[in-house]
Amino acid sequence: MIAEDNGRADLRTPDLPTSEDLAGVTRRDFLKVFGAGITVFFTIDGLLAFQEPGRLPQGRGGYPTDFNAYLKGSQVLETGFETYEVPHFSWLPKIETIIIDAKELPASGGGEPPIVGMGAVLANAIFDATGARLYRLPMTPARVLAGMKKTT
Amino acid sequence: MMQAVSFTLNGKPTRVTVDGERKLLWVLRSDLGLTGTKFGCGASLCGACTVLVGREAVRSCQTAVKDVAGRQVTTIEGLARSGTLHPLQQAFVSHNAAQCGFCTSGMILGAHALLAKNPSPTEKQIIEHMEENLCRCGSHVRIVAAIQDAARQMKGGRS
Repeated sequence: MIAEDNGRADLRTPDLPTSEDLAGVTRRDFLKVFGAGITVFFTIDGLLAFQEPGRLPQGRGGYPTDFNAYLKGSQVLETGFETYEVPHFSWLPKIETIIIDAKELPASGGGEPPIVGMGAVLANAIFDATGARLYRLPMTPARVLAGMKKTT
Repeated sequence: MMQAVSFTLNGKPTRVTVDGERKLLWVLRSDLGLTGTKFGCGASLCGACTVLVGREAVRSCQTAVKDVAGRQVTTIEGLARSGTLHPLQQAFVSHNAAQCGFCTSGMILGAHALLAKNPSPTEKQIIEHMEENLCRCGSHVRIVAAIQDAARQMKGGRS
């Protein structure tokens, strides 16, 4: 799946594919289905529904770029917004969230966990565009290039 | 150089005697106690410190206080009237558009400047206008929805 908005490819790290590289790949909006058992604190159509979509943009920022900030243990390597990229409005597609109201299951938590979905989305986008299958975060340009070399 | 700077702050005449180069952000937060305006990056890159000068959204972290002499300055504290939230504030509440809330005052004032110029922006125009206001929590989609909602509420109403 490729997330693209306003005609621009959603892979913004400089050495990653451009929209020209991704010609023929279509934009899709996000549909997220999330189940965390019975909701005991938030309401299904209230705070939980508002909380969950936010994890996709967080992952969109983190997986290719800003997780680089912590590459050396707890030492912060990047301290400014020049290089610590936070998602911008135009990076994000429409996001629709469906919360499964699974009253028969115990509460298992919500909030941050859905961030993992974005990792798979971006990994698939990179795979579709380059043939490189990445399994490790962050999905840096160097790792994409290394993955591409494996495929050739 | 210390100098007296007079401006209108949230509708009230205000006078401070400070170094004229002191950034408006610190005059608002530290000298005048209006902490709704946030310090984010200090480099005009994130938008958390956005306030209105006249009808324009400006980054107060990079604005010398002497540059607002004689101007109308509006912070997030100045939007509500008589205990009633501004439609933008109400829309942000209704859409849960604030998660941690740190970017929210800048987002609202940035959106305010947009709606003052363009009362009926398209989604694309909202996105373009808000592009340089950063949100780490991922509330972007809800923020756009809140601005669209506020625009509808404000038609023919309060600016």
